[in-house]
Amino acid sequence: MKLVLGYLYPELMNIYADRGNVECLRRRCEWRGIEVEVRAIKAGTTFAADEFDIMLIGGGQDRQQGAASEDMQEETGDCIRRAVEAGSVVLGVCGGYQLLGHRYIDADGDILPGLGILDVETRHPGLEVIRCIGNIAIEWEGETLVGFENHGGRTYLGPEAKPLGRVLAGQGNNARDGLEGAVQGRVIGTYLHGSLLPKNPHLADHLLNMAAIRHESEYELARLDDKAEWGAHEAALRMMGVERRGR
Amino acid sequence: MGKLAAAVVRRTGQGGGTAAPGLVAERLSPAYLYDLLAAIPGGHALISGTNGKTTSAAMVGAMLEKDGRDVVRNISGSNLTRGLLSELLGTTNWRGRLRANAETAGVFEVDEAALVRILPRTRPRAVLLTNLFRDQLDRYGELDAITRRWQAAIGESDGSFTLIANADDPAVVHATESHRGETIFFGVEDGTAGEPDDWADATMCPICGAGLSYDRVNYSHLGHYRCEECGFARPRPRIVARTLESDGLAATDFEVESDDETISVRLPLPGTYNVYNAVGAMALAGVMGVGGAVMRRALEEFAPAFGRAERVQVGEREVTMLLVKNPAGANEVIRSLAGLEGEQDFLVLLNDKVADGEDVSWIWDVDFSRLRPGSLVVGGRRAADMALRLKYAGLAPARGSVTETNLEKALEGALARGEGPLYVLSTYTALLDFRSLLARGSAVREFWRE
Repeated sequence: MKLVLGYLYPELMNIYADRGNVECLRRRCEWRGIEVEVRAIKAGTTFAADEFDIMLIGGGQDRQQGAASEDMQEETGDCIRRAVEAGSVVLGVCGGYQLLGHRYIDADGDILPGLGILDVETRHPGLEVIRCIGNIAIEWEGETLVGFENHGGRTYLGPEAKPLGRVLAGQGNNARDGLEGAVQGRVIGTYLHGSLLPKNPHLADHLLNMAAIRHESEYELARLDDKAEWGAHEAALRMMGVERRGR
Repeated sequence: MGKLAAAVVRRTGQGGGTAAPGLVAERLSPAYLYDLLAAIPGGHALISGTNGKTTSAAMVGAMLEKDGRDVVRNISGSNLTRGLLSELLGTTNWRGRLRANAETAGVFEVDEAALVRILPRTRPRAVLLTNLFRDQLDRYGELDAITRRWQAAIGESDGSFTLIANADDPAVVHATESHRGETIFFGVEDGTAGEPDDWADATMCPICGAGLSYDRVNYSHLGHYRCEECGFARPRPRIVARTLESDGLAATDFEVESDDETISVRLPLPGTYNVYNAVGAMALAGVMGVGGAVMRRALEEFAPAFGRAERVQVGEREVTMLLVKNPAGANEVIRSLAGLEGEQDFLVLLNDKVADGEDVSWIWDVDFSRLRPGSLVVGGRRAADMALRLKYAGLAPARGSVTETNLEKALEGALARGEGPLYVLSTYTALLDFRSLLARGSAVREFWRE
């Protein structure tokens, strides 16, 4: 089997070391003997609906996020939406998460349209309102996810999207409803960076599994030695005083 | 009051007491700092930017001293306003007046946020802007926001100072555009042809937002750029370093060319980033009236600042301390290490205190895969995160790797694992801890006394 990973807007959306997520998926394929290829999808790129198994998008600075938003209204955006309809897996982190939604309304009230592949909307409450910054832990499918969040925007879910998890420590989507992230089909958005996937290997494998079973419905990912991964996961939980759940 | 606090904190051994007395004085009289700055007879210079502040300030200090002048500077890299105030309090008499002669000059490094507060309230002779990279986003915010705040602060000041700025950094150049006085640009003519990496920090035109075109890249987003859309481009630098030749971690040879002379320098520091520091420092010292021959001698005898490729002997081992705190700086340190022969022994320390940045995600933007470790020991509060990062970088040292959050045990482990030089890559507060651990064996002087 061969998996192709698409790194969306690496030249614009790269601020919170989300390269670590790409690197994590690549290595976890290689260690299992799964052939893997990583391709950049820069602004203006067009591609076929079945070209990418997994697409990742990271956080960006305001101006870069604006440029990505503009490009999403052109051909590249259409390609991404068609790929999602065809079953591609998507992970968006921070600013990337916001742009998977319908729109981001910035501190001045200006609207940055997103891809609309997650039924969420993000609003910036104004520069006088404190940003959500710090370590965060959430409960996801009965297990913990850990990371670091740093966002001004507050994200609210529509009926089509389900939250990724429940906040155990930190702020989450909007620092109000105790929810974090969003899931809709094979599209996942979250504010957790850190990088997210290396120290949450169960989530990394969840993405790989969704992609793999589209090729072979019975495919089972080989188990890896994840001692270092869980070591970092548990060290982060300890700092927040949160107990590990699940396994 | 602040002076008393300095003495008390130093005596009780709470660190070096570099910021606490300033905190006391700042509370009592916020304007006192600016009165003291204005009272320095030979004038003062401010140095700001993401990387290179401490080394540049130390170089300028060394040049002025070599020129026979007394220098006041915030030596410990404690570069917030209150750290600066603490340092000035150390040179005041009991009435709180500055002890200085007519030639005394001030050289102060201030962080990116503090510059904005200080600049409109003081009249420096010169301001040196080194570079802008992503650094501690949880603390400083995004790069564009810093650039805007710098530009506003420079525009609000009276423009009576000479601005010295890195021509190769588009974000820095943009920030200088509001300056009403003289601007001297410095740069490096070296590097490789081609475009910056995708994750370089500022490759969009700061004016119109189009992608910048690069003829040459020195590192990260520093290079020779122009915007095809609006014409924004690297300004022609008045002082330039060229023909860089690296001699491992030991030294870098280069030539510096300005209007009236060309000087050959052998700088006992590694990396293009230190050449930028040197050429920026030369431009600044020139404004302060130091001649080329004096600058050259000061650079050639330069002793590295805290943790900047600083070497100490620990028993039989030579230990080189390399401060790493953000991707651009760390990648340059690693580039220097990748140029060494054979395999090296490493101790890598990652902390997540406020001064390090609480968000440790930046380590995933550092290309550790270029290291060739013979042995590897990982320590610090976030040792587990660093160990994981190095696992994904594919590092597999022959003499094994160990993760140990206890610093003393980490050092013991590192010393036990090899015989040759040991390289310590560390964030700021972990390096402070490491230094005081070594100091107990009196291998190094405490840094604030240097």
